[in-house]
Amino acid sequence: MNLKVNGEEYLHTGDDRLPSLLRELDMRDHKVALVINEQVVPMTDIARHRLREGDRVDILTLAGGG
Amino acid sequence: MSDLLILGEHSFASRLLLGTGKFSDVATMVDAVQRSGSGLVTASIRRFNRENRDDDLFGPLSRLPDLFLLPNTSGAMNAREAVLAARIGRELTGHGLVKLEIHPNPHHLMPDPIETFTAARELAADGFSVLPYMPADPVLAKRLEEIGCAAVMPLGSAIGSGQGLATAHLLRLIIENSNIPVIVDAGLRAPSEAAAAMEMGCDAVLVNSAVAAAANPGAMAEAFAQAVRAGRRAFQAGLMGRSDTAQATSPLTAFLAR
Repeated sequence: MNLKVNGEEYLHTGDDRLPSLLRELDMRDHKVALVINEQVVPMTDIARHRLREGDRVDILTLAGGG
Repeated sequence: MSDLLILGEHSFASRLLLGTGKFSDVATMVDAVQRSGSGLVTASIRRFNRENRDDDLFGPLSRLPDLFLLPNTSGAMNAREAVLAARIGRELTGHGLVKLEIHPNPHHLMPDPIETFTAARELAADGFSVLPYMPADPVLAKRLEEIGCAAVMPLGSAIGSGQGLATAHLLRLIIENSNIPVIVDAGLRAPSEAAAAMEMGCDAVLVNSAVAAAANPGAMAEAFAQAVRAGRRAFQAGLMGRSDTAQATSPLTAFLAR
């Protein structure tokens, strides 16, 4: 499935569930927020969220800032 | 006697907020945070960098005890982007305190009052405790209070400029008229300026560059902590009035007969 992850084209080879993408990206040890097509996916919905071809997935965390 | 800073549902013993940007490395930042005694530190929201996982501040900051992370909406160019950033911040931190900042012009980084007001209204209605970074404008401060902001954060001077309390006369007007906490944010350079803001009656100050760009950030964090405490205590103690003429402290009666 072709996705756009953090602004870059990404070919996802796993199934269409979000945890599969997070495993593939090795994100399980990091606390992140997920935004798909500019909508925040609540933590409680991640397990059942289904990805679709062309989805824009943004993975966000905290960085330094004032 | 407890003298807590109350922001929405949260209360903080320290009246110093510290930013986490511009530090040379994570260890220096963590040392400054700890020595500042601050219970509330700001952070920005960024895309996760998979190639450089050490950029992630969430890990090191979330391991510090009794520390509240305050996400900001820096990078948002308008109200729509800021609202999305605030929702991301809430998802990351698990609470609804957000520092709302919308400053589209990188030259002066002055907050956009119209977009800030629009986003603040939407976020407050959505249950956020909104702390808007704003120009030192008493009218806007009142309007932001009326729509339910948890505090206002007027600027002392431009972000990172080190110009201190250039807006002092306007900050006084904001403080006099405000029923919500006033947090002076941006532009401070020296601890004496933080003390002056607190003596004026502001409820807290936020500094970042002044600590991060100091020759010794950890020591400067301590200095700001002491200055904020001194300024607060002086405000509570009540400063003496000013006089155009001298007012003798010793009796003026002659001690030797002439």
